[in-house]
Amino acid sequence: MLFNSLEFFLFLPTVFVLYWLVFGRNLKLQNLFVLAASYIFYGWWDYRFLILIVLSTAVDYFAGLNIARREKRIQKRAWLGISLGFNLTLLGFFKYYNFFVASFIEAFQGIGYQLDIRTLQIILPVGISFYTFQTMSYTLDIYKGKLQPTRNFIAFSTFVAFFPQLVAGPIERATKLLPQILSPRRFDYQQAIKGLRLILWGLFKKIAIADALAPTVNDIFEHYQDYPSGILILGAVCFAFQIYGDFSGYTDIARGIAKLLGFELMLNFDYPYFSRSVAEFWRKWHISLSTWFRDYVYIPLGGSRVSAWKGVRNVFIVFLVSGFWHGANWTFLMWGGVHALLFVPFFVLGYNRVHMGPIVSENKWLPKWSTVLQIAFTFTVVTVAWVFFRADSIGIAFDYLRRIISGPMEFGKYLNPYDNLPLTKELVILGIFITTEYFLSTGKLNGVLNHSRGAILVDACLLVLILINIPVEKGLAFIYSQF
Amino acid sequence: MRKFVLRLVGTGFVALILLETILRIFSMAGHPRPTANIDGDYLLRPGETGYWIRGSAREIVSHYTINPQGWNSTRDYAEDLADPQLIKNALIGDSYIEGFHVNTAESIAVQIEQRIGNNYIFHEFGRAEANLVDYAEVYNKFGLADYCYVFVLVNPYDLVGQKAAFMGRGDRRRNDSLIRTFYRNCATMRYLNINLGLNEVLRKLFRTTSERGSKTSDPQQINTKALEKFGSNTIFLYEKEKMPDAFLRYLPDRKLQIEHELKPIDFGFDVHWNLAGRINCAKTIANYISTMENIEMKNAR
Repeated sequence: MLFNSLEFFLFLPTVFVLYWLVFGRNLKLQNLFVLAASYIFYGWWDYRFLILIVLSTAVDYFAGLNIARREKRIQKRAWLGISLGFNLTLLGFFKYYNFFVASFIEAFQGIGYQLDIRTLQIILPVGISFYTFQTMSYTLDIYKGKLQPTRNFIAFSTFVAFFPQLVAGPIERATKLLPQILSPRRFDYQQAIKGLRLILWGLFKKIAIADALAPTVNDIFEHYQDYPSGILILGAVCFAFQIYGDFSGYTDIARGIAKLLGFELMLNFDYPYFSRSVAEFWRKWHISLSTWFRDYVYIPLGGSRVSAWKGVRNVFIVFLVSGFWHGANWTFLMWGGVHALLFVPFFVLGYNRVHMGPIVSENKWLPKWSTVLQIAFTFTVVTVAWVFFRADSIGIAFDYLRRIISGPMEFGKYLNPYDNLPLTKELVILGIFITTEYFLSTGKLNGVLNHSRGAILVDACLLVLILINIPVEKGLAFIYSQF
Repeated sequence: MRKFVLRLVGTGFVALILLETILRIFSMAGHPRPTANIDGDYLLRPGETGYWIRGSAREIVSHYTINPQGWNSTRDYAEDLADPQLIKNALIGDSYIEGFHVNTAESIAVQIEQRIGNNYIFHEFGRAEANLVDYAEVYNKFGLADYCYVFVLVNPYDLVGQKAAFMGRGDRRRNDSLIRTFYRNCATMRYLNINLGLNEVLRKLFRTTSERGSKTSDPQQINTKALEKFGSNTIFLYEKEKMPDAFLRYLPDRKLQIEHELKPIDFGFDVHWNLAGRINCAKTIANYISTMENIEMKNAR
């Protein structure tokens, strides 16, 4: 079930009430209840998906115990291999089998050979990229000695299937989430209020930003050959905000729900579009995934503590694999490659750790002009890269960008396919959203949010804004739930 | 926990007040159709005027006027019938002809009259969810055989209809109750139900079936008996995209395909014709009549 669906609107309060009022006094029962709720949530998409997640849970539970139990490194490595092998096989088969087969066939066709390998009708289990990475981090951390395995199967299963973050992250580490599951939780008013606000803000991003821009993005990218470059730029910018609103909105809702249940999930987006460089962007976008690749791919490869060319190689590997994680298409690899190319200069020149502070000092409201230009430039290059992410093929992406450069710079009278009206309302809301995000990122709204009556008004206004922006059609699935 | 629940209730209450205020100030909430039982038929309440509002942000706004006979039209059909100078024509159909989605003053009938002039006037007999059985009843009950031209807008769903939706269905008009009065006066309730379609979402969630049933694509189920009730002055209007050839074969020779020159023709999330769609329909009819009657068309917008 989607977070912005009526079913979830009925599901969440039921879970919340039962969680605290019925099962609140017994930790084991409470965890068992969360697990059951998580399986119901996940099974709602397709009950067959449950088999996979239970299998992955069982394999990693036993692998974790055996990694810790074994004395010899080679035995530990064998059990780690079982865990990684199983999860990557699961991921590889369900997500990448058809891609590899189709690419294989195409490659051989290119040299004149016709292969007779059939692609299969494989349904991609929702969230498989997320929970497999989450469970692999568990066994990897045990292997590295960072974590002791848990003997509590229910707690471990809850860690794997925790419904707020199961479908689209954040990808939690066992070192952070498992202790919370194993510890008694008390209802905290302030935490719950913050959770509620996060849910509302996430829903606003999803509904008023992402869903509102989706018809425009779909139309422009599908018919890009019919539009002048001004509209193509509009399409690319709208997609940049669609994917941000969609993904960060989902994560906010996930973190908010977790807070309502007494859990803290990691921050996954730290206002990335206010980044001053691509290096800073990758410290602020999908933080849980980028840190996962840093800790389990980049550092084991040697990180930056190797020769210069090996360091660059490691950077490319991480970005390409990260791109490929997003989907079984060459466009995602290309997107990762573009970001690698954008990141490498900062890396080589040692500027990748430069912009660590806030974009504006505490006693000022607006940033310097140089900062504004840096932000604008970074947003531009990131948006160019998004074209590869969104396009159906690399050729289309290049054609799209070529038409932006060579086409007539006109905007014309573009009508939003959702209602066949100009995009005025959507762009005004986007402007207000960007302004609000700016003030949130600089902490200028803390006073209002910490004032109890002001906060009630803010929450009420958010709820009203969500309602009056609900599109009159079926809920659009979160983009990242496809991963 | 109690403090949190109170906070939730408080936030909900403030949100409700805010929403009700905003909906009233900006007139965002839709209104139900003003219905009436007229002579046993489920029609519209005569004399009612108001605004038809749809979409979560008032994307569709139009002014309607219900005439003394219970149809959405600026014309008084009785007065027209009494005037022998006027050449009477009719449009019959469902919600597309009922025409709530655009101002009544810009309806298809008005658009045709502006283009043809020459004392040609059009009476619109449209009701939402109507089908061929209704259309045939309208044709006979209102004496449309005496009209010059009668255009009937049809789609496959209309053609297979077996039971009238509004003709002879005055029983569908529900009496005013306290709940209905509250509903009509509560902008939030109307907004959630009419603008956001909450009732449809709940219906799908709890899997109850609607009275309308599902669409069929089987031309064998066409109500040929109802088709036979129309006279020789009837022309069946259709849209090529919506009418499979298998259905077209059942229509008499007197059929007319609507040419959609102006685009877009609808409201995106709402597939009813917008003004462009209605102008397209009007132009098609006006062109047909001007050709048949050798009339020079007037310039209209």
